Amino acid sequence: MRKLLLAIPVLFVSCTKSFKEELPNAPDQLVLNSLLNAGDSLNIISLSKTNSFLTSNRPPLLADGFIEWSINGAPFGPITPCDSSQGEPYAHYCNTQALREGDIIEVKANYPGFEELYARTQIPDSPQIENIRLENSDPFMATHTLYFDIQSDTRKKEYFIVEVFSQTTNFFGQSLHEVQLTTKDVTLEMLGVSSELIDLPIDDPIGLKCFFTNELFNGSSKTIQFSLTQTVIGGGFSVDKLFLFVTKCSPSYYEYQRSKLLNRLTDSNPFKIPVQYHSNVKNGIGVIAGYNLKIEALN
Amino acid sequence: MKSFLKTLALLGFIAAQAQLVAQVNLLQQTIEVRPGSYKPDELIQKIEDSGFRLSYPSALLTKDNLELKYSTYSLETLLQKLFNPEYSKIILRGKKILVAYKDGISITYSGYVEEKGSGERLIGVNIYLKELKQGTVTNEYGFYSITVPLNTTLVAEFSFIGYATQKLSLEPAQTKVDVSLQNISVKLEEATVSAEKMVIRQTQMSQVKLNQQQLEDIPAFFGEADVLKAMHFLPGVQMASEGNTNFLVRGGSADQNLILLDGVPVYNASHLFGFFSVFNSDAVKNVELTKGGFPARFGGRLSSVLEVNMKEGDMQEYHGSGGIGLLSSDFTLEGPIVKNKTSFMVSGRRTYSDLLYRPFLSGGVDFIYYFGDLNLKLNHKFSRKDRLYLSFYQGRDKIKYEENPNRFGFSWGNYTGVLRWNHLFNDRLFSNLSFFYTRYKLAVETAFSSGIALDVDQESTYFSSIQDMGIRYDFEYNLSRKHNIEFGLNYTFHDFKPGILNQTIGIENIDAVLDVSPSIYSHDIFAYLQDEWQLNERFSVNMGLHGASYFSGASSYNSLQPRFSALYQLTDTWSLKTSAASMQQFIHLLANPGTSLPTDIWVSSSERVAPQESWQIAFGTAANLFNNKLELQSEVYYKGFSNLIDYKAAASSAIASNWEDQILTGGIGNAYGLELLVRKSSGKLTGWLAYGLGWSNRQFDEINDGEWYPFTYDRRHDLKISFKYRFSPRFDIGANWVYSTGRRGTIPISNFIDADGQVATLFTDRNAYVYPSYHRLDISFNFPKKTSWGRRVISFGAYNIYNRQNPFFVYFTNVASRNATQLSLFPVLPYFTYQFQF
Repeated sequence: MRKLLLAIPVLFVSCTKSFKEELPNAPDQLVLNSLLNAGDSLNIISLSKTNSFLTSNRPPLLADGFIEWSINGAPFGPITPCDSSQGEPYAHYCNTQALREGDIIEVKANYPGFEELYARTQIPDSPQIENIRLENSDPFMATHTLYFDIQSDTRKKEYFIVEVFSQTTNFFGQSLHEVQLTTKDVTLEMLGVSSELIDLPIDDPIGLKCFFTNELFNGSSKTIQFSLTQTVIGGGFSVDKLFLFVTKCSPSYYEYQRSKLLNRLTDSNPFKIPVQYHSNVKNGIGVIAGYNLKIEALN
Repeated sequence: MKSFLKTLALLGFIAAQAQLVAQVNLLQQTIEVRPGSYKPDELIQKIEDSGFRLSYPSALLTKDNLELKYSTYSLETLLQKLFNPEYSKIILRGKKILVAYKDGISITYSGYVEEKGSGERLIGVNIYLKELKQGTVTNEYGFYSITVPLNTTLVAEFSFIGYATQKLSLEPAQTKVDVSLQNISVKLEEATVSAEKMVIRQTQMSQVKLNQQQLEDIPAFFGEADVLKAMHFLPGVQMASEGNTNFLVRGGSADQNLILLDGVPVYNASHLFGFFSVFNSDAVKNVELTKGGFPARFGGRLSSVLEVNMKEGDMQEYHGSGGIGLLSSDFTLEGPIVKNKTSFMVSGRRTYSDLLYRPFLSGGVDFIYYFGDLNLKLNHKFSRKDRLYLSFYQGRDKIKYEENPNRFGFSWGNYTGVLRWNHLFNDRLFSNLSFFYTRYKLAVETAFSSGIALDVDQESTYFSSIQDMGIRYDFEYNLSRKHNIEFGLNYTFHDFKPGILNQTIGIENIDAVLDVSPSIYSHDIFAYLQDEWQLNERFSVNMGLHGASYFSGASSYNSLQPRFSALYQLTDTWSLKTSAASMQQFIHLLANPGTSLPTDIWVSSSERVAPQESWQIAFGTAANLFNNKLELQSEVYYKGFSNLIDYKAAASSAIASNWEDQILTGGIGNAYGLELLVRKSSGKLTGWLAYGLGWSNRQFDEINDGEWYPFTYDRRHDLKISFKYRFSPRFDIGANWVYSTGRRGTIPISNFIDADGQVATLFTDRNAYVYPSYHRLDISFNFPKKTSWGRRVISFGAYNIYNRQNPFFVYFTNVASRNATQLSLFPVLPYFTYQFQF
C-alpha cells in the first residue's frame, strides 16, 4: 500500500534523466570471506577484489594471494587454492582442518598493493534443543504448529537463527524448500518473506528465517512456537519430511546473515535506505564467521 | 540654651499640627454645585469661584465628564474626582491648591491596538517610549500593557509594518489607551520603518514574522500563495523536497515543528501529498516562526513553532476577496453580525479539476481527486474587558478510483475547533482561556474482485487518526516597570489510533478485524512561568521554565525545561542577543524520509519509546542600517538532540504493522551553523536575502556501525533571495531565487563477492553522497487595479523559469547499464491567477 502511495508523487515526475553519475572515489578493496561450521573438515576461504558498481563484470577472485590461518593461536598452513578434487574453483582457498566447538580462528590475507587483512571468529558450541513437538493442525492446508525449547548460557550473549525446511520429492528428485514461519512472539525477528505473501497484511511477525538472541530470554531457556505454512500445495509436489535448522552463531555470522537479508529486502526499492553487509575484516570487507548448525528431523 | 531649643521645637510642632488641621479643615470645606454633568474645566471654575486657586499639570486632569448627583461636595471629594488620588497629591498653601505627581509611583498604560475601520486586532504592534528607551509589543489578541514612572511626560510610538505610525502623549488621567492604526500597505514608501526597529529591542531572537501582504508578495507555486512554502524562504528553514510543504528548521526533522492554527495544533498541514499547505492565505492575518530562544509557553516539539493566526472579521463593514487559479479557487467573506459587537469570517478553497474531467471518463470508470478547506471564525465583544472567539477549520483530500467492480479510495483531513475567552482583570492582568479540539484522520479503502465471482470478494478499510482535546489558561501580568510576567497551564488528552485494519477476505466472506496497532491514550500537562526583566535601558533578560508531565499507559515522563534569552543594546541601531532553550517532544511522526505522505503516522511516547529531547544555544546580532532602511539579523547556533527515533533498516513499509517494532530509539544528533537575514521593508523595492550555513549529524548504534553520519538534510549552503519591485501602483514584479546544496543519500559504489559466492553491492557510508544542488528562479508579474467595487489583481508568472531539472530522487538500478537515474518533479510551470477584493 505504501509503495502505491509513494508512486503517486512520482506520477508528477516531469522527467527522468539517465546519466553516468560520477560515483565517489571508491578505490578497490580486498574481500575476504569464510563461513566456518563446527565439524566441517573442508574450510573454504574466498579472496577477491571489489570493482566499480558501474561495471557489469563479476568482481575478480584472486588466486595469487597469501592466506595465513591459525586455530587457537597455532598457525596452520599453508592455505593454498582449492583443487578440483575439493570441488571448488581454484580461486578459493581450502584447508582440511576439522573445526571444533570453541575454536578461535584467525585469518590473515595479503595481496600486493593492499594492506594486510585480518579477521577473527570463534566456533560456538552446539545449540541445545529439547522437547520438539510438531502438531498438524490442518493437514489439507499443510499448516503445522511447531514447539521446541532452546537452552542458553545467560552469562554471555548468544545468537540464534532458526529455519524450517521441507523436503519434497518430484520426478527431478528430492529438494529442500524453506518454509514460512509465523509467530506471535514479538521478541523474534522474522526476515525474508515469500513472494506469495508479500502483499498481504502482516499482523504477526512472519518470515523465512528467525533471528533472536538470549537477551530476551526469561531465564536460561525459551519455548519457541511457530506456525508453519507450506506455500507449495499440489502441483505434483509431495512433502516427505520437515527439518528444523537451528544455528548458534558467532556475532559476525548472525550480523552477516541478517544484513544480507535486509539488503535483499531493500535492494529493489529506491525509496528505502540501503543496508550495508556486515563486515568484520580489518583493512578490507567480508566476513570470517563461525557457526554451529544442528538439524533435527521433525517427522 | 537647651530648654530654649526644646521650647522652640515644641512651638514648631504645634504650629505644623495647627497648619495640618487647618488644611484638613480647608479640604472639608463644602462647595455647592447643581447636580448634573460637568466638564472638568467647569468644575475647576466652580472651585475657583469658591475662592481657591488651582495649579496642576494638565496630564493629571481627568478627561472624562463628571456626574454630580448631590448639591454639595467637599473640596477634597471634588479634587479626587478631578485628579486620580492614586497618582496625584494635593498641597495646600492657604487658598492655593497645588496638584503634583506622587513621588516614586509607577503607572500602567494598557489597551488594544486595532486596524482602523475593520477593528481587526493587530498582533506584534511595537509600542516604544523613546524617553525611557522602553517598549513592548501587543500580544496575539492585540493587547499591550506597559508600566512607566509616573512623573514623566511621555510620548508612545505605535508602529507596525504596513500601517501608519501613531504617536500619542500618555497622560495619567487616561491609562486605558486603545489605538487604531491605518492600513497603508499599498504605499510602502510611507510604511513605518520604525516597525523594524523593535527587532533590535526585543529579547526574543530566532524569530521571523510575516503578515498577509508579505506572504502574498512571494511568487508562488502555481500562483497559489502558501504559508508553509513561504517559510522555505526564511533563513535556517529548508524544504524537505521539491514541491513539498514540509519544512526543516536548523537540522531538525519535519515532525519537530509545532504548527498552530489560532493556537490549536495541526498534525498534517499538507494537501496533495505535500504540494500545498492547508492554510488559505486569504484568511491568514499573520504568521510567526520561532526557531530558537523559545518562550516558556511553548513545548512539545524540538525545532520550531509556527503560529498561524486567522483574521477575526471586520467589525464595521462587509468585505470579501477571492482568487481564481489554474488549480483551485478560493473565496473569503467577512463582516459584522452586530456592528462593533460581533463579526464573522468565512473562507473556503477547493480544487476543481475533477469537476472538469469527470464527465469525459468512459463508462464504468471513475477517478476523483480534490482537496478543499473551510475556515469559519466568530468574534464577539461583550465589553472592553471580555471578548469571545470561536474558530473552526475543516480540510480534506480525497482520491478515488473506481473501475467496476474494483475500487480504491483514499481520504485524509484535519478538523480543528477552538473557543477562546479573553478577559482583562485590570490594566496589568490579561488572560486567555481556550478550549480546543483537533483531529487528523486518514482512511484507505480497497475493494477487489479475485475474478472467481463477479462481485467484490476482498475488501479492506484502514483507519488511522490522532485527536486531541484540551484546555489552556494563559496569563500576562505587567508586574512593574521592569518585570512582565507570563504564566499558564495546559492540559491535552491525546487519542492515538496508529492503524486499525478491517478486512474481509475470501469468497467465504470471513471477517477479520485486526487491530494493527493498539489505540493509545495519553495525558499531556504543562505549566510555565516566564519573566521579561528589563535590568536597565540597555540590558534585558527573559527567563522562563516550562514544566511538563506526560502519561501514557504505564509510562510517565516529567521534565523541567529552562528557557533563557538576553538582549544588550549596544547603540540605538545595534543589539546583541543570546538564548538557550531545552525542549522535549512526547509525540513522534513515523515518516517516510523522502516525501510527505498522508500515511505518516503520529505515535505516542511509551515504555519502549522515550520522548525526544533537544537543547539549543544561539548568539546573534540585530541592526538597523542606512537610516533604518535595512534590517540585519545574524545568528550562530548549536543544537543537540537525544532519544531520537528512526525506522529500522528495511522496516516494513506496509501500513499494517506494529510501529514500536519498526523503529530504532536512543539516537543522538547535533546541528550547528550560521544564519544571515538582510531585509528591506519600505520603498519601491522590498524583499530580503537569507543565507544559511549549516551542519547536521546523527548517531544510532544500529546504523552505520554506530558511527556518526550526516543527517539526510545536511545541506551545507542555503541561499534565498526574494524581492518585489513596484514600478507603479498598477504594476509590480516579484522574483525568488533559491539555491541549496543537495541533500544526502547512500548510494552504491562497488560490487563484491559475498560469503555465499553471490555478487553483492557495497554502499557509501550512510548519507555520504551529496545529491546535485538545487536551484530555481520564480517570477511573477502583477497588475493591481482599483475598481468601482474594490480591487483586483491579475498575475501571471512562472515557477522554475529557466527549467532547472532539480533532483527529486536519484537512484541506481542494478542492471547492465549501471546508470544513475534522476527523477525531477517540476519543469517550468507558468501560471495565471485573478484575485479580487471588495
